[in-house]
Amino acid sequence: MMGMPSTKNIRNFSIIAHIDHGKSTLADRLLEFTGALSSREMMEQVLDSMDLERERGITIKAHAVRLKYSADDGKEYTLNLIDTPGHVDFSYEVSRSLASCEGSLLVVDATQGVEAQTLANTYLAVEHNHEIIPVINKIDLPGAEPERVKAQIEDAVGIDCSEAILASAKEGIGIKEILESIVKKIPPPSGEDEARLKALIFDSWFDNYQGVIVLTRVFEGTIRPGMRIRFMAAGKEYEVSKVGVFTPKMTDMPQLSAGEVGYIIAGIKTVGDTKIGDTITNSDNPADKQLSGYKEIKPMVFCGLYPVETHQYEDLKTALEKLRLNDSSFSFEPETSTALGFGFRCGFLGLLHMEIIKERLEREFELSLISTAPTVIYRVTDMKGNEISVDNPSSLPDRYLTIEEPYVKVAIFVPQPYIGQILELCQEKRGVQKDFSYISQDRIMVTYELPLNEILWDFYDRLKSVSKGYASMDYEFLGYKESSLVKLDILLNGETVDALSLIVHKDKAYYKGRQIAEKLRQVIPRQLFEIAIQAAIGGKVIARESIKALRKNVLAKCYGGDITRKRKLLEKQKEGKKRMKQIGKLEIPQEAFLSVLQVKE
Amino acid sequence: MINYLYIHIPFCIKKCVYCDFYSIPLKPRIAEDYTDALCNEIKLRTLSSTKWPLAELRTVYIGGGTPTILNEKDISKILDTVRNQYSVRPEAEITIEANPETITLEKAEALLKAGINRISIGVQSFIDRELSILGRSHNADDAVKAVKDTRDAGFKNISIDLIYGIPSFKFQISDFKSQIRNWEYSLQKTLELNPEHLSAYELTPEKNTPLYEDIKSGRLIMPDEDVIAEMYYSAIDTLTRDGYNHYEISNFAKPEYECVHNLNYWNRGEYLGIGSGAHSFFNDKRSCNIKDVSRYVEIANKGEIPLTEETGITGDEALKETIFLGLRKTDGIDISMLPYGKRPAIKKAADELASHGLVELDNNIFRLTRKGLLLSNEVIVKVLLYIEESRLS
Repeated sequence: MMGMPSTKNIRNFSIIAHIDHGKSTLADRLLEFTGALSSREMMEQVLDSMDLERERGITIKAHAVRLKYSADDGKEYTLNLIDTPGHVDFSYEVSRSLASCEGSLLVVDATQGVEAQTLANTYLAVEHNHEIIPVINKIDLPGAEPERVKAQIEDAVGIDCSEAILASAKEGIGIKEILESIVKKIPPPSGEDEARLKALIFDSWFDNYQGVIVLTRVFEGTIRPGMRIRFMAAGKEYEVSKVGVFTPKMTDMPQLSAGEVGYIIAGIKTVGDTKIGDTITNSDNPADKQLSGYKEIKPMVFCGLYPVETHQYEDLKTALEKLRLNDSSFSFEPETSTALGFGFRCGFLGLLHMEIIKERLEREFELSLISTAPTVIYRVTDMKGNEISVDNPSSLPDRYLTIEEPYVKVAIFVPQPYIGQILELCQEKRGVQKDFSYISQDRIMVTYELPLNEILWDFYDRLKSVSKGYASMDYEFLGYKESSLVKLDILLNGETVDALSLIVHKDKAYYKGRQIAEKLRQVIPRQLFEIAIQAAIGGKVIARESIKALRKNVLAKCYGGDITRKRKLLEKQKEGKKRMKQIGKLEIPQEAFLSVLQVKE
Repeated sequence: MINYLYIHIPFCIKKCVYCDFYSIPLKPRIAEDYTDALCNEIKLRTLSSTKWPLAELRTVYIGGGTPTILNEKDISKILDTVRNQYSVRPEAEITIEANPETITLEKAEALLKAGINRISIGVQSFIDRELSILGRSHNADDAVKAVKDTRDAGFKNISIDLIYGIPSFKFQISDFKSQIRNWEYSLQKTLELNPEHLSAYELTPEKNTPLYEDIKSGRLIMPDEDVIAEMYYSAIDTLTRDGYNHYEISNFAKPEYECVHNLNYWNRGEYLGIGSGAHSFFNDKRSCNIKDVSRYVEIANKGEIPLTEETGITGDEALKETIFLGLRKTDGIDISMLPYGKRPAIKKAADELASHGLVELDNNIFRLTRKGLLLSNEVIVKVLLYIEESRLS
């Protein structure tokens, strides 16, 4: 049983690192070194517990672990490691995690150097007045260049690296130095146990047995079972049934006091009530104002999700509801498509978030889905002067006064040899250059303002491919700007397929229309009749293609020896047909709905 | 009771580039051992304990591989064993498959003497360039001579296999018209030899064959789909004009010369297959013998039937087979013979398919149209889907 730590022996910290720079391995080593888990007990990378997180090497959900460490000064310290999501889609969640600590380890791969996202998160940490401890990881690798990376961090981030720790999480090098450094450099949290309760929610998830589990950092006051608490922004009240910490095992505690990090269980049914960044206070003796920094997070990217087989509609609805229990940052609303039938318009924080949700729906709920191309929310002023939000291209009115689209500020890190292609790419995506600077001799950071819509398409993949994987990027939301946008419709045999409509910039519409028509010609299989594909803007056809009628699909022979084999072959064709979406008489493969995305420019 | 017997000979002189069947090169010792093993299996199958009730045989079909690679002695031995163990109807159709390079006048005479009365010769094409692309070991002249020798020897029922849709080397690719003309040339040469029966198969590049790889790599170019369709219709028109019945998707025969043995497959009749890798169908079960020749020989000589697997086919599976096999025949299937509860689904599918001109349903006879023949998979898949749907609802 852990005692109640005095604030001055508490250190709250997080780890900032780019994907693959070794954050999870380092976290494992810290757990191991402090004896939180023996190496045998420890499944590889305890903190990344979701399968998907592991497969993608990305930490999606933040977690917090309490470690006990006996330092060289002879005192025992409580270290709270707050893990942060490593993807730009979740930058708000990162900021709330960072707000919950006083310091960060900045982990940089000695063979790779600083990446765009590391920088963005480090800036966030600096904004939160963090003490930052640079750790140069993977120094055991042959290509390690710790001195160069140190210089790079000093140049790019402006952090003194003279005391940077050289480490190899994999080999267990430098772990003790890191722990000592945390104790010595990161300040203890401040706050009064007796003050009015103010605790920050930095993560929450739904557990089937206990309801919502809230991760929180107590800034002022004390929280204990039996207390009635209020979520200030959400305006909801609950009675605390349990508080505790992860060691990483869930361990109940009598209370959480100022400076501490832990969980709260209060019979909460939906994560919708436990908004990240919200402040928890005592209902009977509430704080006068919330902790700063709370934002209502809104989905930025939308797409339609439809079951391939219409009878799976209810299953999809149930699945979405279940996922939403655990993730209040995505939204869904029923919508009807003339082409695809009944489905849902879903909103996500970003593309990765969208892919994760889609994958979980297909994998965990065994649904076969069609998703329409992702889109942003457009702000349209209609002919009567009313402002409307358009999250589905097919609902853009034929006539309107103005249309505005969301812009983001994108920071790209790229080795010098690839800068040309990167500038071209940004140009092509309607970007406006805002900054261009060398962060070291051969690395450049460029900043662009780009329409969010443009980076939804193939931006990231192209960024990676033109830079042979070396460029990295980060973006933040800027605001709305008026644009010349038009709706591009796709017609199959004369009928507009609403699920294929999209909003594009006027100057690109013609080209895009041609490319999509061409792409559809490739992905739609020949059928029993000829298919006409047309791309049109405002009723005017700008491109057309046709798919000739299927002439032959026949088994040349079938004798006694291959009846079973041929039957299986036909069954396979049948299953293929089942996966197609029936639109009128047409059978459209799922990939057709994403073909609009795969268009090269 | 089983009236149809298939005997498999898994040997070839050399493998053709498009063939994905199991076959091995022949060595003298193996031929003899294999023949003995076949004879053993024939005997084993007649033992009452094994429950393979063979009635009077209507057909015996020796297929391969290249069965005529065996010498006369081995072939006689096999057929003698069949006659000793089973009763064979006097008018039974007894077929052997042959390749031109394995046929001489003497060989043909010996085959007749052994009791064979129908020969199916793998000619494939009368154009040498096409034969070499297919990796055949004969040329057009060899083929003509082989057919004439069998005729001269006294065969009264000769079948010729042809292949269309043969690819070209990319630097030799010709225009659509000459591709079709080449095919018509092979058809014409075939008619000159006046065979009683003819199979015209569209070339299907199967995975794991040299042909498939060459097409994938672009070394060989397949004819356009529309050209292949033209070739097919041209075969139908040319051959029916010349008095042949087009009785199955790929098969043509002069009246009364339809292949009785193969019709049994398409009628979903029962049959017994002897030899390595041979399939049988009996009592609602499809089964298959061991493929590997030496394993097969070993087991058969131990006195065991060398079966590997057996799958029961009942209910909807059986119905699906009836449909996909039966629709191969131009006579189609009589849906009044199908389970009563399934007929509405089939009729519904037929109505939809008829609207595309793919099938006709007339007096309960469900058959493919001229257009539907080439799109038979589309038809079958649609019918299968309707059957499945009717089960769900």
